[in-house]
Amino acid sequence: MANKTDTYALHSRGTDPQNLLEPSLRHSVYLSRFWNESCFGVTLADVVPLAARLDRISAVTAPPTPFLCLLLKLLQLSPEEPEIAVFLTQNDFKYARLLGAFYVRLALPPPRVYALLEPLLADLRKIVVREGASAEHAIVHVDELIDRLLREHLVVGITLPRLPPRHVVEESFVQLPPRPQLLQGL
Amino acid sequence: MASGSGDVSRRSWDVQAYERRAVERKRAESEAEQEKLRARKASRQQPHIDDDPFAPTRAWLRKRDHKIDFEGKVGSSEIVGSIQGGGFNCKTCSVTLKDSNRYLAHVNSKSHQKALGMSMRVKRSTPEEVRLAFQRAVKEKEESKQRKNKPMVTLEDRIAKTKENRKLQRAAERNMN
Repeated sequence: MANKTDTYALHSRGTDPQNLLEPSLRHSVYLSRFWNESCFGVTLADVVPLAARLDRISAVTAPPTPFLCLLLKLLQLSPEEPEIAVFLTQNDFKYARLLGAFYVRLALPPPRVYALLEPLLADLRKIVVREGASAEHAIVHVDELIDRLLREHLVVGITLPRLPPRHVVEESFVQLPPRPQLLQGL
Repeated sequence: MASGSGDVSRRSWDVQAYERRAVERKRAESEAEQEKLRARKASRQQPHIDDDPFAPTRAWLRKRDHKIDFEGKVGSSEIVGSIQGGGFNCKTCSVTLKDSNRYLAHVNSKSHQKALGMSMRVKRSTPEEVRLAFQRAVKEKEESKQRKNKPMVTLEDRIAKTKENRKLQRAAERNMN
């Protein structure tokens, strides 16, 4: 019961948002101590202090990392765009920002993914990332990871839903204007 | 014919009193029915908690305000009753769980939360609440940084301070005598 998705969740990808994370990852999170001890009964505002304490991006499941637990928590709470946009626009916690970015990539429709994630390509801060259980921790930059979120289907061991290329989205969805070029005014 | 069955004519009834009682009962019944109807109508018209028609009937689920202490008794010995047995005891539901995992599962369960008067649904945060939460997190981070940056107290400082304190204490004692 404690793992049920919010009643108001929009099933924008055609399925329960929690199903967007693979069953093996999901079930290991449900059994983890961090999930049961710290993530029980939290609202989106309560997720913030937990997200502020993140110190790496990793989805290793032995035991499940706080990042993975909080990502599943976001999918369970299933916030809509105005709420999750606060995670992306704040500048103080880079890992909280990336947590929001992963949620957006997983749960929101393609035009919104491009609209919300592209501004983050200007964030050049260093972050610690671990690709998987067999990989070492590595230092990369926020924009590198955002770029991978927009291009790839498997990032740090999390399978992402299909995202059509930008030009296809632009042609089929009227809501997405072309990406503003930095050199446009010159 | 049995002797007792035709024996009614010798008994008399206060017909009027019974009639009054019957009328009274009928009135009370219809009044109760009316009262029920009125209550049902009122409950339908009553604004729901938070003006949310889908809000749960029990309270919204809230985060635990304390950390569960699993390690506190490690290394200590304790006498346990034969009925209670060893393990983690939940006083609200009067059950004893054998290990910390089961205890956590119990505390997070619907039955336990129901006993506390809470539903299993969490309130949705507004963007403004999330923004405030980030502001609080920034403040907390700064405070913890300040705490870390406090100048270190060296051993010499502490010895000097203790000496000073003792001197003062002795002076005070002398004055008392």
